[in-house]
Amino acid sequence: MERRAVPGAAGDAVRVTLLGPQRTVAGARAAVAELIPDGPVAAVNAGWRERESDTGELDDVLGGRLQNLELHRRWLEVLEADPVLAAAEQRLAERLDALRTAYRVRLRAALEAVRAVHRQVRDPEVAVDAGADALAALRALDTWHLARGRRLRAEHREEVGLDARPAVAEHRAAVAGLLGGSAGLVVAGGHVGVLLHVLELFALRAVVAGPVITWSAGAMALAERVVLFHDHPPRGERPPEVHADGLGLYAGVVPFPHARRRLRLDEPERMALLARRLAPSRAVLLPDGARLDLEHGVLPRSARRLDPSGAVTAGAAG
Amino acid sequence: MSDVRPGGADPAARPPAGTKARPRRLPVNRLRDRIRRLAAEGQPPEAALQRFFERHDFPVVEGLRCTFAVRVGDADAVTLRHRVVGLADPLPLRRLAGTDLWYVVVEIPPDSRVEYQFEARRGDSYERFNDPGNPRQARGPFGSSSVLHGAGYVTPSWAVHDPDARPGELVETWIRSTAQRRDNRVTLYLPARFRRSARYPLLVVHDGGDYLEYAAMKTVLDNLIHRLDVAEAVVAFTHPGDRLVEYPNSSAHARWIATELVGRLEEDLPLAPGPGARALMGSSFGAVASLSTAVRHPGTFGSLLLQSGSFVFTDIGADHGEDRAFDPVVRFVNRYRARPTRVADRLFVSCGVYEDLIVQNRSMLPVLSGTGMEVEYVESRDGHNWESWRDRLQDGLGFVLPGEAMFVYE
Repeated sequence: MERRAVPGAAGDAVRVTLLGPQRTVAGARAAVAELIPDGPVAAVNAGWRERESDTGELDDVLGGRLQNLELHRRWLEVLEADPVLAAAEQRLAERLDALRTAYRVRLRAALEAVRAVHRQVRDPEVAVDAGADALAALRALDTWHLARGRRLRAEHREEVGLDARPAVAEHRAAVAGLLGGSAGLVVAGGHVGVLLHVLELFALRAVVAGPVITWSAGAMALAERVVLFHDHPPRGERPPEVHADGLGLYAGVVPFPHARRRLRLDEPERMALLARRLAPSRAVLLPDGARLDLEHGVLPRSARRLDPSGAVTAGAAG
Repeated sequence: MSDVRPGGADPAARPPAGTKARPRRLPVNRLRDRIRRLAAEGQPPEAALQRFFERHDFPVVEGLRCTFAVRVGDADAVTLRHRVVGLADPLPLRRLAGTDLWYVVVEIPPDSRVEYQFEARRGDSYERFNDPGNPRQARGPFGSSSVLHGAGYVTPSWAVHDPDARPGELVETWIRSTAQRRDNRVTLYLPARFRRSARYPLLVVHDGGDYLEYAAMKTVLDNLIHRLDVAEAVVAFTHPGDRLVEYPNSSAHARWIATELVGRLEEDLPLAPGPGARALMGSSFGAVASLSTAVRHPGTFGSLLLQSGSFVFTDIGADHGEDRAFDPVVRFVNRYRARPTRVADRLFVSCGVYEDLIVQNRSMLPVLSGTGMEVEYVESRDGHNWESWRDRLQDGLGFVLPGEAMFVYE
C-alpha cells in the first residue's frame, strides 16, 4: 500500500474496488463473493441503456442476489412523466454538445502547441519554460471545460428545481430504499455519459455506503473526473478529453479501462503528456483481470499507472 | 474470408522499407520458356497452359507487378479496358507465341483496387467480357467488372456481413414533393434497437438505391454502428428521377431534399433537431447535388459527405471537355468558385487518384476550406466506382455521424 492520493478526499468512507473490463467475469465473481458475501447486491447496469434489463450474466456473477436499480428505466419514466424536465434536459444536452465542440476545437490547438514547442524550440531553457506554459494552458482549458459544464448542469438543476420535482423525488426515494436494503453496490460499464447522468439524477452519491465494486465505465463515472479516451479511432486523432466531474467516490485516480486496446501505450511522449496533464491525479490503467481495492482512498502499490515519462509503472508512489 | 481484415491496406503485405527483394521471374515468363521447350520437343502447349491457370489466381499479383492473362481464340487483338487515369486505355495484351494466351504486365502501386474488363477484336467486331480467371467482380448500374486487388489491398471487414452486428431495418415509403410534382420513393434505414423515445441524427443519401445495391451500405451501417464508429442514425436513401437533370443545381431538387423531405421526416420520426444532427451525401453527380442543395439552403445540413464529386469547372470560356450533361454543373461550380460561401459546418471530401476528377476535387479543397468550413479530405488508389465509395464510408460516415466509441467502455 502507498500514500493516499489526496488526504481526506471525498470517498474515504466508502470502500471501492475497481476491476478491469469483465469480458470474463471470474474477477467480478471473486470480488463479489469476498467483499459482499451475503445479502442482496444493488446493481447499476444503466450504462447499457435499453439492455439494462438483460442481467442474466450479471445476476449469475452476483450469485443470484441481484437487485437491479434500473436507473435507465427510471430515467425514461421520469422523462415520460415530466415533459418540462424532458425539454430542459434536451436543452442542457444541446448546450453541453456546443460546449464540447468548443472544447474540442480548442483542445486540438492546445495540444498542438505543446507538441510544437517540443519539436521546434532548440534552446533547452526556453523549451522547458515554453513547454511548461503550453501545458499550463492545456490544463487551464481542461479546467475551463469542467467548470463551464459544471455551471451549465447547476443552472439546469436550479431552473427546473430538480430536487423538488415529484417524479424525480419518487424514484430517488425508491432507489435509496433499495440501496439501503442492500449489502453492497455493483456499477457495471457501458456508456459513461448515460451512467453519470442517471447516477446524478437519482442522487446516488448521497446514499452510497459501500462496499462498491465497479468496472470500466462504472469505474470512470465514480472517479473525481471522467476522462474520455480512444487513441485508435477509425481515422484521425482523438485526444483524451476531460469530460466532466465524476461522482467523486474515490480521489486522486483517473481510471483507464481497456488501456492496452484504447491507449497508444507504446508512444511515451503521448502518454507522458497525458500523465502530466492529469497530475496530481494519477492515470491508472485497468486492464483485463485488474483489481484495485481502494479502502480509505489508498491506491495499492500494484496499481499500474502512467508515470511522468510516459512509461507504465507499478509499485512506486507517485 | 482470408483477405478480410479491419479496414485499410496491409503494410505487412509489402516488402519492408529499405530492403530490395530479388525480383522473381514472372510466372508468365516461366510459362513462355516451358512452352518453347515443349515446342522444341514437338509437344502441344495445352497441358502447360492449363496448369498455369490452375496454379495462379488472376491477375497474378507479385509486389508491384500484376500480370493480366486470358485465353482468347481467333482474336486479332485483345486489350485491357479500364478507367485508370495514367494507364493507357485500351492497353494492348501480347499473345504468347504458339498459344491462345494473351497477357500484359502492369506495375500497380500498393493498396490499389482496379476495375477492368478484357476486349477482344475480331475484324470490325469488338467483344468486352470479364476476366474468366478472376472470381472477384464488382457490380454497378451498368453491369459488372472484374476487380484487381493490388498488393496490400483488402476488402474492409466492416463492408462484409458481420453476424454479431444487429441489423437495422429498411422501410420503403413514398413522400410527396410539391416542388417536383411527384411522389418520391425513399428507403428509410432505422438502426437496430430503434426507439421512438430516442432522438436520432439524419443522413440523406443521393442515389440511395445504388448505395444500397452496389456499395453494401446497409451492411456498412449495421457494422459501423455496431462497432460504435458511427452514431445510431436514421438514413434516408433517396431514389432520383432523371438524375442528370435533377442533380446539377436544380432548385426543385434542392427544395425537395432540404425542405420537403427533411420536414416530413422530422414530422414522422424522432429526429434530433438542428443542422448539427443533419448530414447530406452523394457521389459523382450526387455530390454535386449535395453541394448545390446546401448552397441553395445553407445551414440546413451541418455536414456534407462528397465522394468523387463531378466538380467540373473552367478557368476561361465554356469548353470543359465533357458532354453536355455537365454544362449546368460547370455553370454552378464556376459560380461557386467565384463566390464560395459557407454552407455547412463540416465537409468530408474523398476521391480516387485514378479518377479524372482527382484534379477538380483537389482544386475544390482550398475553395471549400477558405469559407471557414472544416474540411476532411481523403484519397484512395481507386477509381470512379461504387466499391471505391464503399471503402471510404468508414472514414466519411465516422466524420459526419461520429459514433460513441469515446463514451462506451464495456
